[in-house]
Amino acid sequence: MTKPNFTNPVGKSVPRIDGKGLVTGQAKYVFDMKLPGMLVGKMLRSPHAHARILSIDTSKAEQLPGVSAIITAKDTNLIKFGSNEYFFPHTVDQLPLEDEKVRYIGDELGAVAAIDEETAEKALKLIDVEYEILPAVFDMQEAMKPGAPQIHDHVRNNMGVILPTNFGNVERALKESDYVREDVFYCSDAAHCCLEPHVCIGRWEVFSDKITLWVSTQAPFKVREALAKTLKLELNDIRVIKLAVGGGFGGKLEMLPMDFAACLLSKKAGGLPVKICYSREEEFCFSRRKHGMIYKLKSGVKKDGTLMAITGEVIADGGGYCSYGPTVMAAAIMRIFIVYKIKNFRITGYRIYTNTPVSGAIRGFGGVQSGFSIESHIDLLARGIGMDPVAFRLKNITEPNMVTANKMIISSNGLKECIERSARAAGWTEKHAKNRQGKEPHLRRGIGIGLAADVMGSKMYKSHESAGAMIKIEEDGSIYLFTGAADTGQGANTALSQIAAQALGVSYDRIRCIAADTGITPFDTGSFASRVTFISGNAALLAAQDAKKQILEIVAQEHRIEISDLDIEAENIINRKTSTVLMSFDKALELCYSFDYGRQIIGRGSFNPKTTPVDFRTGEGNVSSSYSFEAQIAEVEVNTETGVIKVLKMWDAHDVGKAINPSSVESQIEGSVAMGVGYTFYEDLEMKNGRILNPNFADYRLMRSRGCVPIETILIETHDPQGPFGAKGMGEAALLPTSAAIANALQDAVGIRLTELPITPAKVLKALEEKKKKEKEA
Amino acid sequence: MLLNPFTYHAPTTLEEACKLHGELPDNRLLAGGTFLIKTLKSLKKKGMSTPRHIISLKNISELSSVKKEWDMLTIGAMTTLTTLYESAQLTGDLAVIPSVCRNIGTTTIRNMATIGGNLACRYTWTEFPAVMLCLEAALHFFDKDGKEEIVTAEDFFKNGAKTEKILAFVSMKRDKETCCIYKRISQKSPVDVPLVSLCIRGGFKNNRFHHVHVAVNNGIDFARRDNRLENFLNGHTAKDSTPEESLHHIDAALYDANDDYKKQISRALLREAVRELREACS
Amino acid sequence: MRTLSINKKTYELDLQGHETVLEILRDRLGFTGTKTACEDAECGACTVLIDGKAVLSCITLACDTEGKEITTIEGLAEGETLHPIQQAYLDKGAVQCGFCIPGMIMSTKALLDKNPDPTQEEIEYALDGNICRCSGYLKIFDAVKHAAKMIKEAKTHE
Repeated sequence: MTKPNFTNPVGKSVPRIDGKGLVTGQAKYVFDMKLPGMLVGKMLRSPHAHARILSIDTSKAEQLPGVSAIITAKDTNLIKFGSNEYFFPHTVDQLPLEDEKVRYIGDELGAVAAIDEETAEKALKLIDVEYEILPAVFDMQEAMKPGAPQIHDHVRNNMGVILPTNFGNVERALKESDYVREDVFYCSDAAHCCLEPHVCIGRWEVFSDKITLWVSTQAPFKVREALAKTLKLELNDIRVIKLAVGGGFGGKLEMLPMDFAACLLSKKAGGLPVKICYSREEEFCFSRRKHGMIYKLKSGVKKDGTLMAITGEVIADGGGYCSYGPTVMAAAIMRIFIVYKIKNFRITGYRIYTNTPVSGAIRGFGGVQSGFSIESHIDLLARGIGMDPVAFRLKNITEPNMVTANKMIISSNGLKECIERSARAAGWTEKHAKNRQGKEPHLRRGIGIGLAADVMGSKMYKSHESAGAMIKIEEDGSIYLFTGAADTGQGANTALSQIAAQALGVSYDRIRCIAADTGITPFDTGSFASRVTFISGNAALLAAQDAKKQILEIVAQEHRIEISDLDIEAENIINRKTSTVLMSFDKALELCYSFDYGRQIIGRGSFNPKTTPVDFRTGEGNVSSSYSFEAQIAEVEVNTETGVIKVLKMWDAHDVGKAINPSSVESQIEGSVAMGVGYTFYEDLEMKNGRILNPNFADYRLMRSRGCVPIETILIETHDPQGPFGAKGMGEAALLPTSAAIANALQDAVGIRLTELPITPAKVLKALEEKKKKEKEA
Repeated sequence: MLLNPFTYHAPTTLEEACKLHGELPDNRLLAGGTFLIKTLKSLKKKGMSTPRHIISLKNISELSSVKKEWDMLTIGAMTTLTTLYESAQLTGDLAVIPSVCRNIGTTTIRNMATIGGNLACRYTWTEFPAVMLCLEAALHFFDKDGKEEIVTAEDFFKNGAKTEKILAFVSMKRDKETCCIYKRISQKSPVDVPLVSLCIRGGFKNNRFHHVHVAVNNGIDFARRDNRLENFLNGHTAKDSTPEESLHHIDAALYDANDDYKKQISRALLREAVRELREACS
Repeated sequence: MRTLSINKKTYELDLQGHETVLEILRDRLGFTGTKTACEDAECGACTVLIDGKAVLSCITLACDTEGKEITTIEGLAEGETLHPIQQAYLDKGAVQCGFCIPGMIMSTKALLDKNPDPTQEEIEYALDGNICRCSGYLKIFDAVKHAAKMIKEAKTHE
């Protein structure tokens, strides 16, 4: 063994387990992979937003030299896939290759594999598709109207998902309120912009290994499930392997037609591997995007600040298919209960089909849109009764150990501390409502707050949400952790290895993590809903405890000591009774694998979070085993001449339970806030007639080093009783309140309220003009 | 394959380059590549035809230098924006050049992109044209026989490209009496092309402006001079109200484009620029 | 045949005029450490050093680099020892998905080679061509400053 450097690693910012590979360029992504005989695959896409497929003629393309395989719907089982089969069977609405209709520009109806990209592209052009163009609808509000073009035959008025939630007595509560206000918020759509595009290599060797799919994914087991279903195969016929992944952010959470096509093309090409890699333009136009939403709210409060009722309506632009739409809708609405004590609540969500690119999961799962809307609305309510926004929030937030109106069970809850700590750090009382100016009179400063809470896990895979882990300890004391969890850059493999090492009582550098290979590792639903540290972490913890027990059993037998008196601490087996070191960990392993014992140490862990059945249709039930919380404060400086807003600083206090790796936790927060700032000011997919107009990094701008925002993170550790070493999930929440915190700060600075994202200088100037006009009139 | 095949040429002298450019059919000049190679990629993607010959100017050392003789500054067309940004010779009114370079693209782009490429591509939205107009720059073109033609920046942007010739040098006269102010606002994010940009150059003596040049780039047309504002400012006795007053003497059509925000913003930038010009020269 | 010098080794290649440095590195020579996220001169993931300058390999013709020294991410570590910049990125938790990191590190190297003690503003400028979607850049800035410190310390010990 190398010198153990990291005993008791939990709570320490140990270097990433895969870090050296990443900083040297040696880490392999599917993007980098090449296999002998590998073909290039390309998708055949619809140029029309809405059309019936009358015929497809591939004969000319097939004759093109260099073309190895062409597939269309007729080569498939015509089995649809979707992401919410268990709760919303009718939202399983997409065929891997469409056979009758295309529903957005880019909809897949076939694929080609050829010796190189040029040949594949030439072949695509030689495929004759005869379409009957149908009237299309691009605007969600138009699509809801009776008589609008019907995009899916089984769905009336294009209402793909309807979520009616209703708790308490809203009418009475509004009557009893002293102040009632209505607001409408408009949230733009956005793109994930993972730097590694969607890419996969499918190989289907019918007579030997069956299918192997190397794919840049957040959820290999979900991809496997969808492939097995649509290809009518057993789960163990398909091996899905994840390598290093260049970002996911929700965009790589499901099987896409390209994954299906790569496998089927390979089969047709006699087992030659087929690589399909999206260009940046394809990535923008044909992967998934954020739901654009209209969030209408009407709420009532008492003079003393008691939040009486929240009502409203959410309309979301779903695009051509459902993808994760139902879950996004549920999350966009139900999160409110985790943040605010609210008894009377009625919001109906409508996810509308339109002939536009498919909306799906993206970091925050609808929470970013609701975060902007709710937290802006809450600020306006506080202003309406002349109450400080921080005081108003403190009065209405949820508490530890409570059950919400929709039966969510909150255990640990550090929200109050998050608010207090961030407010103190930001100097809230000195800064808020003080009409402050910067260096010059036209530079106005303001401060605003937003809150958020998040789940750690969500029942999206059939009925369970479990994760498994295995620990295999070799005779020299080196350790393997096998986990199904998919590290997409957030550092899951590192955190899980830290948990395993801590539980085993050994140094972190003993561990090698083998992850996310459906043929080798235990099952895991994937990286989403901030679930990995909590759920997969618990599985790793259990596996490590199991392995430890196996070691200690042998030591106990050998030394005739009660196993309950033994433990492993800092690389040594100790007798707890006598407080003596019995032997080193290495020696213990020698013993396990000795002539007398010869027992392999293989620990297993399986964890299914304690939740109650959730009915996504009513929003009732406990979706997550625990919840994480945060408060975020933005200080801005507004240039009243140019309308440009500069974010001076953001503060984020986050109840993370316990930071397994503080540096990684901070990274998640900083990255989320950066994404949130971009989304607030400039990230927006521009679309015309169903076509995305800015599918590149020149026209769709992301935050760069110049223009980034200083962020102070404050970690609040509430030691969740169910979390591994008290940890909670936290990868998404910090993105949720950013837009609202900035919008609230903008109002504090210059007295204008913007309700439409992105907040551009032009909108700021226009609002300032209108304000001036109104003031003159008054 | 990112690019369609072409024949690559790398002349080492300007003379050789001029000859190749004049003789090879369907050729394009390659300077920094930040525009040309990008364009060739996009043409390939769209299935459109691309040039058969590419003449790289990278090996012509005489084209990448900044020379100062007396008051005349000559910049080789292949000088990168980073070199200009770091050049110690660009001081006084010419200090505007490095400050403009800072806003163009990103570091990697500035390390590659050249001033010649920037000007010869004649983008409507980039930063340099307005500045070149104000600095009264001259563009030195060479034809296939090596014959030089000097065109003022103003004529170049008014009258069209000179694709048959090679832009080899940009020259300008340094004027110690004048200062130059450049203002811009980004389109979307802080690192972005300008939505509107403008440049003002002029002197200020005995509380009066003189030799004022104003050029504005509204992002739609090529940068153009605002003669009306120049006339107002030249000889104008500066007061505290001058920046605000100038706004009533502009050639509004130049700024207004078709966008209320641009209209407002260009006025705000202009006001600030006039104020700063006076301060800088005082 | 043309001769390229990559990470101090020479390669004789029958270069086609249209081949970019990116394609030569990744497709012909297997140096897949250099990434690309757009192939369009926007993302900076393909950044390499050519004669010490950080440039975009996706728009650099390989033929244009003859006689120049190309340095890629594979050329930084010495044996099993990471380059101080790589070590600093690791130590400061600046790496998440890692896809932007090779380009980011190359831009950092170009900066520190020229300016061993950069200010915050200079760092922000030097890295503005490299998009990172994961981090918000703050830990990357920490890493650059830490690397500068480590390089300086190593020099004083020499």
